[in-house]
Amino acid sequence: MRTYPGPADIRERAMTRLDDGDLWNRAKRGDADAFAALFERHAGMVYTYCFRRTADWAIAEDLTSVVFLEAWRRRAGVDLAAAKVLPWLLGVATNVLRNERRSLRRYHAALNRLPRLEPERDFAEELTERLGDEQRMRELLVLVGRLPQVEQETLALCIWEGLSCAEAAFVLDVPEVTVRTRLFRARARLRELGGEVATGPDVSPVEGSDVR
Amino acid sequence: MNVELFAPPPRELPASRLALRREHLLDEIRKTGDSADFPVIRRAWRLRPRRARLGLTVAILALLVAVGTAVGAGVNLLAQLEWFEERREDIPGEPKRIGPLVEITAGPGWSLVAWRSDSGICLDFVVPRSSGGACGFGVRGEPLDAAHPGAPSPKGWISGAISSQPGAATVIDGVVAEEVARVEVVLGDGRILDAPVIEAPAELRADVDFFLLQVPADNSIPLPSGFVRAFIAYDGKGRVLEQSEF
Repeated sequence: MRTYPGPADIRERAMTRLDDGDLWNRAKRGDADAFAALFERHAGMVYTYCFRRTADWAIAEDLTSVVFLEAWRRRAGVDLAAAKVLPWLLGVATNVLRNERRSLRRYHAALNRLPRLEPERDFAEELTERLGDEQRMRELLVLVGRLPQVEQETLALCIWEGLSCAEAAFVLDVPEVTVRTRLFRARARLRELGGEVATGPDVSPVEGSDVR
Repeated sequence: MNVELFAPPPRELPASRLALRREHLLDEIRKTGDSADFPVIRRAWRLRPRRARLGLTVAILALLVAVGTAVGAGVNLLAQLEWFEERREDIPGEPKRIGPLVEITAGPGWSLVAWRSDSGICLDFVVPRSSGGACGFGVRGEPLDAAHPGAPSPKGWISGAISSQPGAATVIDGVVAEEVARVEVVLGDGRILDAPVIEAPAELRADVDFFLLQVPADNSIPLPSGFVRAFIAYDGKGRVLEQSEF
């Protein structure tokens, strides 16, 4: 027996062919399916970013929902080209992370409406993995947490998430030169703290740069 | 550690949880229809953000002190506001007043004053030597924006804001549609307070009402963002017309 896609399936498939900019414009006009398509595309990246900043997979998952709920709320006033959608979402995530408790409190009712998911196969093994990840991430955050907040954010975006300095500048709403300087300083401080620079964009400070 | 610092563990969202979160997101945003106004935070001070309001309060205070106006005990607060508004009207981008300043309610040393502007209703809480206010609440019945013909009619049932000064009671005020019979204010600490609804005097010529609460200074709740959690508007039959998260 062959099954044929229903209207909803066809619409869903059509969404996958649109770029981020088109989806965003549709979402701005109230198209929930377009917004859901953006969620499918970028939730993983937002989730990873939130996890690496909190070292808690459960909180990161809630924060991911909060980021997209907040993005939906703010969408009307935001024009985004295709390449800017993910950086903008990470910018929303950065703001949400800065006020983590307040953000979760604001969306407490919405998060409470989330259905509970029954554990799937081999849950114990997955749980062990997750706890291991959390422990490793917490150890990293202890070291990174000794940097100023703005340098932590820059490091997370540029090194952990692989954004370019220009993209990170868009996320943080600062000049690119500020990102480069923060990154340089972060790496220098980490060297002093015992970390070794292994990868990441090569940056150097710019004379007279303005660090905000 | 050195390598891990720059390659921290990734944590992918399992497909089942991604699907669950996606459906949850769709459920939540569909509740809001096509509106961009997800019911989480409503900015009451559409034309003047709260921080601008506080700045305005400070500016008024400084201005009045600087020119040495004779305000103090027994001052006519309406005249004080009139004095200020005459000077403010020339500031580019500020709402232009239409009609008189109308006192909504008053008490010892304070007055709640409303006026019509080209940007909707404006509401000021006035105390000696200072005041703070906002315009354009987006509540149904509010006079249409004469400066922007064709703008959609306001649809909200309730919109409010807070302001505070060190050592003084925190003021929670706002505008409601005429259909609103009762207002509850949910504070950040969970307390729910009834705010009396005050009818607009006829001379205001606006089909809206007002509410006002003054909560004694309490340092246990952060100001201004965490002080008020929500405004709830009820109709005469006790039905919720709107719960506006703050």
